[in-house]
Amino acid sequence: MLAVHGSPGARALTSCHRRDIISAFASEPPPSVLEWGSERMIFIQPGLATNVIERVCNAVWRLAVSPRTALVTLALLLVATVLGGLLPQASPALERGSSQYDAWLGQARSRYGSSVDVLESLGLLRVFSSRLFRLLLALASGVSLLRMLQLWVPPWVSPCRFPVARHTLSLRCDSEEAWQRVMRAVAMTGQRLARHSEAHGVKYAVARRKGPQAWVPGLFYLGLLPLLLASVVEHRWGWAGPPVELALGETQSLGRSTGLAVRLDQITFHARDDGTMQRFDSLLGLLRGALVEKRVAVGLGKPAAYRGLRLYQLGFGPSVQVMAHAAEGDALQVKDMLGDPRPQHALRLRFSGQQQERLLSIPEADLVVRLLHYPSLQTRGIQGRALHVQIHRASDGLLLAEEYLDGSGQVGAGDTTVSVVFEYYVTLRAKREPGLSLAVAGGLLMLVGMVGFVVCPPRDVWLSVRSRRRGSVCDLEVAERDVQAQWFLRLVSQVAEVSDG
Amino acid sequence: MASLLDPAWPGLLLGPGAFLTLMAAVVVWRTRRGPLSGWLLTAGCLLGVAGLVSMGVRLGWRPSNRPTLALAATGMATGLWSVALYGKSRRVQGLAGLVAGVAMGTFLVAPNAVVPGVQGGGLWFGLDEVFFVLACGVLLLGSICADVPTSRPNDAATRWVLALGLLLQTMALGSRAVGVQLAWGAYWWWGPVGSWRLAAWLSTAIAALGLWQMGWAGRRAQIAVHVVTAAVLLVLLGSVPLVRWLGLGELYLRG
Repeated sequence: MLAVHGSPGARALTSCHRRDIISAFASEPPPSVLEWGSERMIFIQPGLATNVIERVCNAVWRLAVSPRTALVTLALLLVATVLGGLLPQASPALERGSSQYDAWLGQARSRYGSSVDVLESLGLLRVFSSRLFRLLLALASGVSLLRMLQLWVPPWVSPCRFPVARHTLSLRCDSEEAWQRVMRAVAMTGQRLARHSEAHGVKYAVARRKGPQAWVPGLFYLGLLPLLLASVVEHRWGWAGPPVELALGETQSLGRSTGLAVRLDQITFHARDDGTMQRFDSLLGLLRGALVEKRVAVGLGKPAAYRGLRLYQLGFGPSVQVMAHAAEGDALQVKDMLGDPRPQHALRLRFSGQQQERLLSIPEADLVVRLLHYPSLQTRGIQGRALHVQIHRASDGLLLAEEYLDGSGQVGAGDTTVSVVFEYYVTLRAKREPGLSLAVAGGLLMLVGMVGFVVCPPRDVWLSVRSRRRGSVCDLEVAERDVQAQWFLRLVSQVAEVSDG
Repeated sequence: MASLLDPAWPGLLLGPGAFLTLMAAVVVWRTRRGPLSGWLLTAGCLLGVAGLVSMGVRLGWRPSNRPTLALAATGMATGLWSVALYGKSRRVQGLAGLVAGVAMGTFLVAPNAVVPGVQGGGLWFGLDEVFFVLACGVLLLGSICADVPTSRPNDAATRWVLALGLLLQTMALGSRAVGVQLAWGAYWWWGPVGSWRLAAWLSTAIAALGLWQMGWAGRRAQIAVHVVTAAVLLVLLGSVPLVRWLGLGELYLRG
């Protein structure tokens, strides 16, 4: 039960000073004034909130919406994030105990030594997929929801938890007219009464902004919920295919569940003035069986969409096309000695981080070709990618020819010519992302809410009006940060006839 | 003199121009009254921004892995924010001009300082870096102003600076999320550099919460804005070198 202040009418007003609104008009503290620490007091109408459950709920509610709770949540998230930024972290995609995870652990051990085992036993290698971190995210969601309700639902206005300044105005008119004047002043400064009540002949009220400006800051908290929910939806209902590496002309399945295969038909490399890559685009054919269903273009940062699937180009890398010709110009068949054993007239080979060396055979010419790829070869004066081509006789291993190529070229060995064309391969991944629209909506709401916090921050004014012998007294309490704000000065000037300071 | 065929020429010409103009602004601030120092500061910062942006567009240079470029960009942002937010405070503008001039001078001494690392390209990653540099600029200005008596009450100014810094960092994280989503199909991933950026956002959010809702003021507000500025600048200048030094990025990508 969160609606601890949810019954009709206001029940709680708070000040952070000993001499607050309440004690100012009562010579003796009313029976239901509760001390909150040494500095804070909460006034509750007599007869209300007397049972233990309601008091506990009151305390829980105040704790939940307290800025201190938000601060502690943020601080814990900060500690976890800093740990994740300092310590090696396994990708959340790696399942603990899987062979890939063990391989990753081995790499981490080779770099950081036995300290990795200590971190592993403490669970610090998977900070962001730990239960504790998820619990923190859930706590952040809960706190956001409650803070949103506190901003949006008038009966759930929480007591003030920050330093306030009190402004006392002595008015010549009676309390009823003073109250009307307060109402007019509140309306003129773009506010409305969120809650109001009367006790012991004193009128109390909490005034807040009215209109869209009152709602906009709460969108920040509202946005956080779908953003975090989107990751749950993605985890439960999303799908990501395996990374697919494709050289030109190659075809591979996007994943069994899609029933689709993809073929790389064309690549386009756009370079900057200094030769570095600016854009790298690929033209792909999406195939169902042997039929091309659609042609799509993808690039780095330019995914393609097809029937609920999104196709991302994760990266690209170097590949070569190798052909061999006899002296008469006849094409010879080339065979990859370690990969696909089928002989082909034009063989395409990829070079990745783990595999920079390839061995080919040309059975008809009794030749073996060794290719060594270098991202750059400064010792040979080659700035960009380089390929070391060695041609051996297959029968006795004799080196017949070798050359360093910095671009497409040919290497001859006896009657046979080996042609090498420099190309690229691309890495693709297909995904189904049912939570993406939720995440986009959440992100936009958070941004709008954040702008709202900056442009029209929430305002709270605690008011009380009481009679005195000649006229009335109006007390206004406002956060210290708003004491010099234009809207508060205007409110005071609208209410005041004579201010006693 | 740089050749006009050199892709870096706009930066190499505009950078020294910006540096000289900013130094002139500081000299005028110390010696003369009137609006001239403000105009020189604005002109110097705009020249600097034009030079840095042209280098970013033509060469793909980014603040994330070029610490001196990041420093210069932050200096320019600080100068421009001082004009926008403290148009009437000559003292703040003078100090901001000095910071901007020193930052640009550092860049001109070592323009090629680069930390190799994985770097996202494209509009959204560019926007991410622009917003983050703007956030660093406004927070650095807030840190300067926290110790300088100005026409505005310091606590109020610090609150607004933190709010603006948080908003800009949110926009930066949002742009980064769009860029990462378009490039790799995951709007957020817990890579080490991304984690540091989130840590910067969280530290700013904590300070903003303290100042806006918990009534932090005076010395406590000063300390908060100094700590946040130091954290955000460390993330801008140091997160990529740190991640590279620790070998975290490569290990994460292999994972």
